[in-house]
Amino acid sequence: MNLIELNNVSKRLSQSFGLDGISMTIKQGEFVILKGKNGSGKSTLLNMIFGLDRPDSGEVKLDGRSPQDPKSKNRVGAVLQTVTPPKDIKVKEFVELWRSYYPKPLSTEEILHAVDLKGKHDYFFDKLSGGEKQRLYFALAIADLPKLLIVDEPTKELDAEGKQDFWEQITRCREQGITILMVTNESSDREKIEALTTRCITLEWNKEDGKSKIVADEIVGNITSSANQEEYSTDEPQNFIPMLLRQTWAESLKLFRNPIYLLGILLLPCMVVFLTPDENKVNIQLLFFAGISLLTFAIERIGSTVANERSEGWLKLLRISPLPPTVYLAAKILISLAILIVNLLLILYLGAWRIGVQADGRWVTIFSSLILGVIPFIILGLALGYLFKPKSVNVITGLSIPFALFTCGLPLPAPKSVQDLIPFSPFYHYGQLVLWSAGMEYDNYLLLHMFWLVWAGCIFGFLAVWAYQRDEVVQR
Amino acid sequence: MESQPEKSTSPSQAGKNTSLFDFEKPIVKVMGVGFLFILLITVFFTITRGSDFCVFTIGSCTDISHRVNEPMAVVGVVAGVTAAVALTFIELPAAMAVGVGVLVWWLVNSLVN
Repeated sequence: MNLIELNNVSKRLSQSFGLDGISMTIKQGEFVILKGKNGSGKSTLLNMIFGLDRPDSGEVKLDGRSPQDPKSKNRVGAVLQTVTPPKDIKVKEFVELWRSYYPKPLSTEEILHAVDLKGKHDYFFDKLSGGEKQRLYFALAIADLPKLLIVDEPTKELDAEGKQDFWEQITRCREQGITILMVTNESSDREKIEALTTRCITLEWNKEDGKSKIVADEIVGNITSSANQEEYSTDEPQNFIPMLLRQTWAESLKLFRNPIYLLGILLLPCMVVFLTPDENKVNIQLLFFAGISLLTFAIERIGSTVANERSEGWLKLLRISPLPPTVYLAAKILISLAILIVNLLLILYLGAWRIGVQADGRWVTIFSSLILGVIPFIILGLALGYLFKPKSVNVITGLSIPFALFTCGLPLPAPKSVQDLIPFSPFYHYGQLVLWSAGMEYDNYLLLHMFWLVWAGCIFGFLAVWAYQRDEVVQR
Repeated sequence: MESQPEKSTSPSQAGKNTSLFDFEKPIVKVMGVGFLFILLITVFFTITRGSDFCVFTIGSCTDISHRVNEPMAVVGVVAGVTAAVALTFIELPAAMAVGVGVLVWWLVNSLVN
């Protein structure tokens, strides 16, 4: 059975570099070494095998499926470079999270025992040594006792002890009949490689035409039996609910381990006490304050966390797991909504209690309009997180505040033609929806405002999906 | 080495998978139709501006009523917003920057009134 199939795959990354007409298959039971000098395209090839990058032409199959299908990774483990688990989660919690992505995982104890990390349950990733980090990556790779293990330059950063550990793990995997594709150029590992390898593929970049091709494919050993591997179908539908619950739990852990941010969530609403207790102004001031507070958290919270996780390599790690991106995004949106609900409840409660705002029984309508109307902006934050770096997301959030205030009623010197464009701003429609909910004067086009916000949510959603699919997301 | 290409792909497919303007993708079709719709409404608002022909009225016939119209109140808001935006440029998280902006707005408001 072919676990990896590449048919005439080409990918051009620049004028002077591209993969050209790569065809290869890797069968069950093989231990294949992929060699080549730096810049020969080994990592690009791995990215395409994992579906992190798409070929310009040709076809890639992983375990008989398109690598973009999360199910193709149900029985594939990987140890890659430039990936990092989230820093606010402990080793055991992280392994439990990772297990939830697979249909039939090993137990947490089995996984940690297999890589000798039993005493490190409560360590954060940053506190692990280089060898322990490598072992943790290995733990993730074997979480589902994979059929295929893909390893990218695994011993590059390891000391002698780490290398010893690593080769023990690899030998154990071979004894279990796991097929291995390893990218390596380490000459110090030659003896170990020669003892285990069944095949050696060499990639070479030609300076003259800028194309990288397979120049050698040698059989150097016998394929081992994989009879002791448990077989199960990867066609079974994925169970999203446990994945979503575990992912949401991990997101909440990250939130509660960031006390400064948590304090900010509680302190910002408390500033409502600075509003003037003036009967004529206080309602509109409270609505402005609530709207700005919600918009800030909606755009900044989700945008910054996605941008940070993308730049740290956590998203790349997720993409090589069977976790569908929708589950990851749904967990982020759920946590953001929870933050916004707490924030808004505090503002409305303090507004009613401390400065005596009267809403004449309209509190539920105000609350619902403010929360439902902010959903398109949460999606905007998501799109920004995939498009920009963390610092830029923060600045864009900052700049969106005067824009929102201007389109919702702050008079700034602007020509009539600019003022005519205000109705195209989703902030304007959000503002009008909120005014309606509070029973205040608005322009009487409620349905149009609702329609516009739904439309804005769709556009931001499509933008987020496109940004997610962009190749550069994983290459930065 | 494996045998040479079993399936060939036409050169026109090169780059298709990553292009934003691949009109065969449903997502791009929907976005295209949406943008045309927005363009149509923009033209409508522009050509009916200032006339009595009002269907939607917003932005064309009706003057959008600004609710903050006391100059002194505007000074406070502008100061607060400027402080918030400036702080995001020096990498303070936006939520904290808005908090500081609210404080500045309150201080300026207290001083001018």
